Amino acid sequence: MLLWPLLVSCFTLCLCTALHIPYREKQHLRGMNNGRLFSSVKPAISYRNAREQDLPQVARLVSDTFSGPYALHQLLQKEKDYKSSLEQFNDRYDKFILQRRKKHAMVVSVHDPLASTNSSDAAAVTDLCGFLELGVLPSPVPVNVSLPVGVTILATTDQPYLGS
Amino acid sequence: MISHSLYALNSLTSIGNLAVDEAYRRRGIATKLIKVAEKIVEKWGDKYLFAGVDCTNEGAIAMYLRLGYKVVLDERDLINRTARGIPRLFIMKTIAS
Repeated sequence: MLLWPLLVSCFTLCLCTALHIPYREKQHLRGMNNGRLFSSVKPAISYRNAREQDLPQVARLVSDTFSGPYALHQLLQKEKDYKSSLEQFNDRYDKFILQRRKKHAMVVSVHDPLASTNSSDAAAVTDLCGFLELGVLPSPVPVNVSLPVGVTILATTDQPYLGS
Repeated sequence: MISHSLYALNSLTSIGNLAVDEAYRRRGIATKLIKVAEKIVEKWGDKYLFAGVDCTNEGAIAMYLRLGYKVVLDERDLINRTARGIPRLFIMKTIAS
């Protein structure tokens, strides 16, 4: 009689171990739900400073993230948003990164296709998968707003703020 | 306690854009990008890092809070807020001591 609970515990433990899905596999299953193909190796993501040639992809990613989703009839607007974003990024890259007029950084995360064993997996996704811009940017806060703590903010809204 | 000068928001180092491709979300990429940003800010010798997030973006807000950011201003609390779409939360973290 005393052995019965022990046997049940052992059986449960064995069953859980057998059914356990490793974390990496879970990540891949999630990837499949996003329409990506299955691969046995998790794609490697690396982080580096943005280069000038990354800017079109950066602009596409940012405009899709902050302006989308677009319906079929909004394709012209989508293109307009993309061009506007690209123009802004080129301008800031030139002024702040190349000319170093201000403290500014543009960081990208890049998927390395060589880290994946399945070449079709690499082809199914874009290389640039993340972007972060950092700097002394104009505040999105409206001018002269009063805070609950009794302080007034002196802020400008002279440039567009895309969000985060 | 947040000092008075901290509210000169125009001179603060801030995250202006943070975007992750939809197919790559929920993999910690945004978290890693923010950690990279914090290292850059530390290298620059700046003390604070600031960001504005749409108050409806619960995922981003949760991520920032998890990373130790504090909400310093909720745009919904501002009486004279101009109409700019979705109100935002302004969050901040002390990077260097």
